[in-house]
This record gives sequence, structure tokens and C-alpha cells, in this order.
Amino acid sequence: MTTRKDTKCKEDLKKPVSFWKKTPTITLSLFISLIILFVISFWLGRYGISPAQVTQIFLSKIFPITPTWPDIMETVIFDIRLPRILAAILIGAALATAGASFQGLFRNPLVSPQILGVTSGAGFGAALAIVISGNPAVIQISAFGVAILAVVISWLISSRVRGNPTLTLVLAGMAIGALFSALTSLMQYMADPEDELPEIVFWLMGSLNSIYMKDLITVAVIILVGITVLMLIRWRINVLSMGEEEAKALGVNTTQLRAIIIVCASLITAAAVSISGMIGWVGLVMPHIGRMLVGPCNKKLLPVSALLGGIYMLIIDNICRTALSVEIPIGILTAIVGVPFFLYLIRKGKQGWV
Amino acid sequence: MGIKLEINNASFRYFGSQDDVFNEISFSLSDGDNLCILGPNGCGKTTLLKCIANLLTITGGEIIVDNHNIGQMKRHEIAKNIGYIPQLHAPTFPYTVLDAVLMGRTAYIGLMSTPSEKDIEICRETLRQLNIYHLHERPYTNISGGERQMVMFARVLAQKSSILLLDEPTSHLDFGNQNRFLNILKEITKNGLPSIMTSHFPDHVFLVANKVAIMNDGKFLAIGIPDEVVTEENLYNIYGIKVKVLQLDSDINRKICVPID
Repeated sequence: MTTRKDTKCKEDLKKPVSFWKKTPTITLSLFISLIILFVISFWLGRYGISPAQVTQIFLSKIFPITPTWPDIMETVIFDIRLPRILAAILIGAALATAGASFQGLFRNPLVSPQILGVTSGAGFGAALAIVISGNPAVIQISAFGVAILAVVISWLISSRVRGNPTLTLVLAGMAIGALFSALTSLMQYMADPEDELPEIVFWLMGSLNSIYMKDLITVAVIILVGITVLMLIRWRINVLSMGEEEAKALGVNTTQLRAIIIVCASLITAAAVSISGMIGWVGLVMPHIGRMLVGPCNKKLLPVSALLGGIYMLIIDNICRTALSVEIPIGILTAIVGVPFFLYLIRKGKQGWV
Repeated sequence: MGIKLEINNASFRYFGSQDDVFNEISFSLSDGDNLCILGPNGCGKTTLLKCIANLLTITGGEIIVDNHNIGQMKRHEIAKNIGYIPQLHAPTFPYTVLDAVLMGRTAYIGLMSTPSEKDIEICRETLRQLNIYHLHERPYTNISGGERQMVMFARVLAQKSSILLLDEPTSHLDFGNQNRFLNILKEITKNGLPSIMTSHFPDHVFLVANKVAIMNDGKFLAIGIPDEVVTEENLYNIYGIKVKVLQLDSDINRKICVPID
């Protein structure tokens, strides 16, 4: 209409476009870092296998190479390290993606995947199964099942209350989370202190120890499908974060979109914690680091968060299994290593925070 | 000129409530119309706009948009017809201005896709049209209230709807920005896009509107052209204060309202 600012527009066009241009480079560098870390992770561990041997063992699966290494090396690589490394990446990516999605849905950067009671439910499911059965497969299924049950109960409660659907969901989730935490404490109180109690405590501290390929496959499928769906709808999460009413006015079927996000994010969180135990912090903090790197737009944030989550969990798990002569529970390290790093980032960068 | 919006005997009450927030509301909107709704706080203006955008569902009567009953339309179909700016926008994440405006394109973007180059170009064009393109990379949380209102306006224009609903669009703007905003709105209305706005300033009616409704206690007391409806008597009836409506001299040629007690 007027031309007063037209010249300014032209100047602005010449300026480098910050987040828009930076994002592909950042995403690509994170992806390459993850690949490098993936390779390096095979070299680490108490049973010493040199990088050259790792390469040879992998190549022998494709090319006919006569083994010059003991069989146990192959077992360590394919049956112990490979599932564990894959699990770390998948779990980190799942928790970070679920965290970012929930933060958008609930319009609050302080939200973690735990918001609807998923991890509390998983904790109780695992504790119950440890007391009743003790079979690892039963523990995993029970943790997953009760985690989903917790979300379903939160959802049912909130759908029966009139009012802001997001707020009622948060309140119901908090209540259900508190209930399952109490029930977990009850199981700990009732558990045999000789063997069951320590097992429950270890489960709650989280570990990627003793993950086998057969356990991983179902979990991997759930996580990959869930992450894929969230990635496909990720731009719409922006619109939903404008608030229920504005999102509707902009043309979003909010009930449907909210349902998709809750189902996918809950499924992948439940699947992740069912094999890893309680792992906090990752789902809350990785999206924040992502926002510092690429800004708040979920189109860029979700892939970056997933990559960051995978990288972070892999680093932490490598420390867990190599730092001390005994395994360190991963739930402890995610916070001990993560908190100072996070505080440093808060001090250093303001972009994307506000 | 085609009728874009028709409202017949609409009423609304909240679930479980005994009283209607508004009732017996009927009017229609054609190309190039700007309807300004005046009325005291709590008279039902905002609720009425929310019902027209189908954010609340009317409990009686009907709302016809583009020959369809709004109750039977899908969200994205409504959004292509009706653009809505709420009275208050509470930002959460610091999206860039361009990202915020891109959300206006939601109705044209599939559930599983992201904005296309064409969507981005439409938004850039809208930002240029409103003279705020220089802000496009800034976080929209980090600009002035006046600039943010222009961003919200750009978002609703990028939506390319056939009707605009603006709930007190000038309420958070300073004196200059109020008039700048109304001038832009006037120009957009003149180009054919019909709009409904609410306001607390009777002067705004004379600046932009060609139709005005006086609303009190959930009813339209009067609806018609500004000269006939914005009268000293009607203003006294809704606001309870004496107001003088004056005609300014020839080079401005507009009426103004001055409270006198």
C-alpha cells in the first residue's frame, strides 16, 4: 500500500535467513554425528574388540571372510552390543519426540512425556510383574500395558469433564501419575526385600542392560511407527500450540489431532520405558536444546529433537557400560550428565527460549 | 453483490445455563460490507462472533455460509470461508513472524503435509502488503503489540477466507496504530472482503463501517447504516452516558462522538 518500507524490505531480503537456512546444516550434522557415534559405540565395552576387528566381523556377514577372531566376539557384537546400541538410539529418539509433541500439544515447554502418567504406569506395571512373576517378558509386557492403561484412564476422566480439554487432561494425568506412583511404592513395601525389592529399584532407575534382539523388535516397530506418524503431522502441532480455539478457527480438527498426538506419543513412550525402565530428563530437555538450535517450529524441531535424543542416550549408555567396573543405572546418569550441560546452555543461548 | 453470510434468528446459551447469552439475532453480510457491533462489556458480542466461527455451537436458529449450514461443515471448510482474530492472543512459543503467518494456510495444507512454496509465497506477499515484511524472521513474541496485531491480521488474510471476524481488533493498539489498522481494514473491505468487527469506540463506526449493530443484553437493539443507528439516543441506551454526535466540517466530513458527562 505505501512504499515507505519497501527499501527496507529489499535490504532484509539480502540478509542471511537465520533459522530457515541453518536448519538443514544442523540436521545433517546431527545425523552424521549419530552415525559416527553408532560406529564408535561398537568399539566400546568391557570385552576389548578393536575397531579393525569390528569392521572385519561386520564385513564377514556380507563377504566370505575366514574368521580370525573367537566366536565370542561375534556374540558380543551382534547379541549384546548391537541390540543395546539400537535400543539406546530408539529410546532416546522416542522420548525426545514424545516430549516435543506433548510440549506443543499442552502449549508448555515444561511438559515431559510423563505428563499423562505413562511412566508412573509403567513403573507400577513392572513392579507388579516383578512381585507376581519375575519373568522378564512378563515384566516388559506388564510395564507397557499398565503405561497405556494409565493414559487411557487419564483420557477417559478428562473426556467426561466439561471445560478446556487440554487443562482437564493435564489434571487427570497428574492425578493418575500420582496414583500409580503410590501403587508402585506399595509394591515396593510389599516386595520381598531379598530379591524382589532390589529388582524393582533397579528397574525404576533404568537400564539398557540385558536387552536382546527378540525383545527389541516389537518395541522398535511400535517406536518407528509412532515416530513416523508424529513426524508426518509435525507441522500441525504448531497450529495446535496456538490454543484450542485458534487452532479450530484456522481449520484444524483439534479433537482428531489431539487424539493422534496422544496415542502416538504415549505408545512410543510406553514402548521405550517398557524395556529401559524409568528414564527421565531426556524427553523434557532434548526439545529445549532443539529449540536453541533450530527455533520452536515443530517442522524443524521434531526431527532435530529425535536425533538429539538418540545421540544423547547413546552417549549416556556408553558411559553407563564403560565408566565403572559395574553398570551405572542409566536413569541416574541422564540427569547427572544432562543437568550441568543444560544449565550451561540456558546461560549461553537465549534464542528460542523467551 | 452476493450474500456471503446469513444469520437467522440465532441464539446461544451455555450448557446447563438457563439464560441465553444472545437471541433473536438476524442479519446478513454481503461483499464489501463492514459490520461494526457496538455494545457494552458482557453484552454477548464475543460469544456471537465465536458462534459465527462455529467455535461455539448456536443453540437456536441457523448460520448460513456460502449456502451451507455452518453446523454441517468441516473445520477446514469453515476456515476457508471464515477467518477469525480473537480479542486476545496468548503466545506460547516464539515462532518467527513468517511461521506464525503460515498457520493461516492450515485449511489448505493436508493433515500429513507441511506448507508448500506457494503457501510461503502467499504469506510473504501478505506481509509485504501490510508493510511488515521486515519482521518476518523476528520471533512474534518479541515485537510490539501493534506489530503483533498486524501479524495476526496477516495470518487471517493469508487464510484467504471470504469473511473476516475481528473481535475488538484495536483494543490493544495505541492511538496511531488504531487508525492505521482501521485504514487498512477499510481498504480491504473496499476491495470486496466483508468483515464483522466489534468495538468499544463509536467513532470507529464512522471510520470504517457501512453497517452497524447496537447490541445490548444479548439482542440487537438496532441495525442499519451508521448515520441512522449511531444516534445520541442509542448510545445513551447502551452505555448510559450522554454523548454528543457531531458533524465535522467539510474537509474531514465525518461524524464524531463526544461524551459530555
